[in-house]
Amino acid sequence: MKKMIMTLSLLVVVLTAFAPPTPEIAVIVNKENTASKLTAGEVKLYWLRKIKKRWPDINKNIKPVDRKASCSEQEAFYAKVLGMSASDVETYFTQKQYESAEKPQDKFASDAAIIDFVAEEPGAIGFVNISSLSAEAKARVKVVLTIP
Amino acid sequence: MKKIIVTVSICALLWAGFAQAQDTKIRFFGQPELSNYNTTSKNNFVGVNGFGQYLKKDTTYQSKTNFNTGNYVLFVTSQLNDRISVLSELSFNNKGNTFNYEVQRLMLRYYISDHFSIRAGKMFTPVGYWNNQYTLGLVLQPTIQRPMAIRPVSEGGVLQYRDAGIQFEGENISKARIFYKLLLGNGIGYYGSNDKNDNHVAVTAQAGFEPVEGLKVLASGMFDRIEKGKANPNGSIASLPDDGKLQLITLSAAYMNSEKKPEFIAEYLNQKSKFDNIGTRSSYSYYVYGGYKINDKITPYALYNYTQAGANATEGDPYFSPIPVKINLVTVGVRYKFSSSFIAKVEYENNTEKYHYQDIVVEGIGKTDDGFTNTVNSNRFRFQLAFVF
Repeated sequence: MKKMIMTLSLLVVVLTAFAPPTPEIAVIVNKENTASKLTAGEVKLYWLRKIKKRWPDINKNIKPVDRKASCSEQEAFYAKVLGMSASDVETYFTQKQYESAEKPQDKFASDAAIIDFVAEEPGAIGFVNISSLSAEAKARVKVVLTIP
Repeated sequence: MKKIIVTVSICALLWAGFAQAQDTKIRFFGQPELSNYNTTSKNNFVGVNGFGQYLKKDTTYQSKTNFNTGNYVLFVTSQLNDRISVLSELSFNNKGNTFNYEVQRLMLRYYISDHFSIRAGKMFTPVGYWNNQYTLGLVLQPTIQRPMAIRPVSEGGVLQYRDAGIQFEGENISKARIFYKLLLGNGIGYYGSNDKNDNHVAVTAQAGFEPVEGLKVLASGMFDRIEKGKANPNGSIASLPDDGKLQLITLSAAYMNSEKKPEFIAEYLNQKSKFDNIGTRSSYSYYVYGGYKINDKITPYALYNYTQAGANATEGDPYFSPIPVKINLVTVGVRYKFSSSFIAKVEYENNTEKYHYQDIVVEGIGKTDDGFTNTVNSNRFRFQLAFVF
C-alpha cells in the first residue's frame, strides 16, 4: 500500500513537471487600428462585440478571431480575458447569430494564419502565443495587450 | 403604407442579392423528443340536447410512450458586406404521415450604427424577451417547450411570434444599454395564414435596458386590428363576430448570464380585444422561470405559467378562446449540457385547464341548465435531445 502511494505521488510529480506551462499570449489588432493599448476588460467587450460592433475611430466591423481547435492559447485567452468556458463562448456566438444574423468569430488553425488574417483585416482582433510574434509578424500587426 | 413597406423590403433584398456573398455559416438544429402523458377530463363538453341541457362526460386518456422527431431547422446566415447580413431559417417536421416545411425567417439586416439598424423581411416579432431569444433553436432554449403564455398559434397559443415587415432597431444606447425595436408589419394572422390582403399595418414596439450584464428589463406593445369574418388565430372560431382592435402589452425581466449560476425570466402579457360592438375582452398570462447552474453541465429548473382568457365564468375572448379558460402549468426539469452544441433535457409537467361554460338561457323560456366547469388535468413526462452543428 505504501509502495503504491509512493508510486502515485511520484507519478503526479513527474506529470506536473512535464505539463505544458500556460503560454504567454498577445492580443493583436490590425496596424490601421488606432487603439494602442487595451485592458483585458476592453478586449473582452470588443472581442465579444458586446458594447460596440465597430471600432470607434476606424469605423470598421469588429472581427473577433479564434483558434479552430482547443489549444493552450485559446484556454488561456478564454480563462484570463473572457472569464468564460469554451462551451459558453460557442453558445454566446450561436445566440448572437441566431438572434441578429451576427457573424460568429473567424477561426483559424494556427497562430500564423491568425497573424495573416489580422494583418489583412482592419477590424480584426485575435490572440496568439507571444512566441509566434517574430519581428516580421510584429511589423504587420499591433500588440494591444499581453497576458502572462 | 403597406405597399411602401413591401417595395422597400423587396428593393433591400434585391440590393443585397447583388452584393457579393462573403461568409456563409450554415447551422442545423435538431430536437428529437420522447414523451408520455395522461389526461383526465371531468365534465367534458359533448353537446346540448333538445331540452337545452348540457351533455357532458368524464374521460381519461393514457398515451403510449412515443418518439417525436420535433422540428429540424436549417439555419443560414451570410455576411454580404461590412454592414449587411442575411438570415434564413427553414423548419421541417413530420407530423402523422405528413411532412411539412416552413420558412420561419427570411430577412436582411442593414447595420448603420449601434444605435440604428434596419431589418426587412420575415422575422421574430419584438414581443417580450423569450420570443426573440429562443424560438426554434432549442439547444439555446432553457426548457423543452416555450412557456404556455407565449406559445405560438401552431402550439395552441395566441402569439404571433414572427411577422413580415420592416423593423428599425438600436442597442447599447448610453451607459444603461438602452435598446429598442419598432416593427411595421402585416400583424397578427388568422388561422392557417399570416397574410392579410389589406392595407392595414400592425405596429409592434419594444424598449428596454440592460443595467448590468445579463439583466434585461423591457416592455413591448403590439397594436393590430381584428377583422370580422376571419378565423381566430388558433382556429377555435371559424368566423370572428365583429371588427375591432387588438392590443398586446408585455412586461419582461430576465437575468441570463452564462458566467453566473442563477437564471431567471419572468414575463407578463395582457391582451385586450376591443370589439366595435360586443365590447372589450381581456386575457392575461404570466410565467416565471428559474434555474440554477450547479456546475458547467447540470442545471435544474422550474417554470410556472398562469393564463386567464376572458372573464372568470362569463364570456371568453373570441379572438383567443371562445370559452373562458384558466390554465395552470407547472414544469420542473433538469438540463444536462454535454457541450455547447448538444444538450439533454428531462421534464415533468402538470397542467390544469378549466373551461367555464355559461348557464343556458333560452329566449322565452328562461334558464334551462346551469353553467359548469370542465377541468382537464394532464401529466407529461418529456425527454429531449437538442443539438446544433
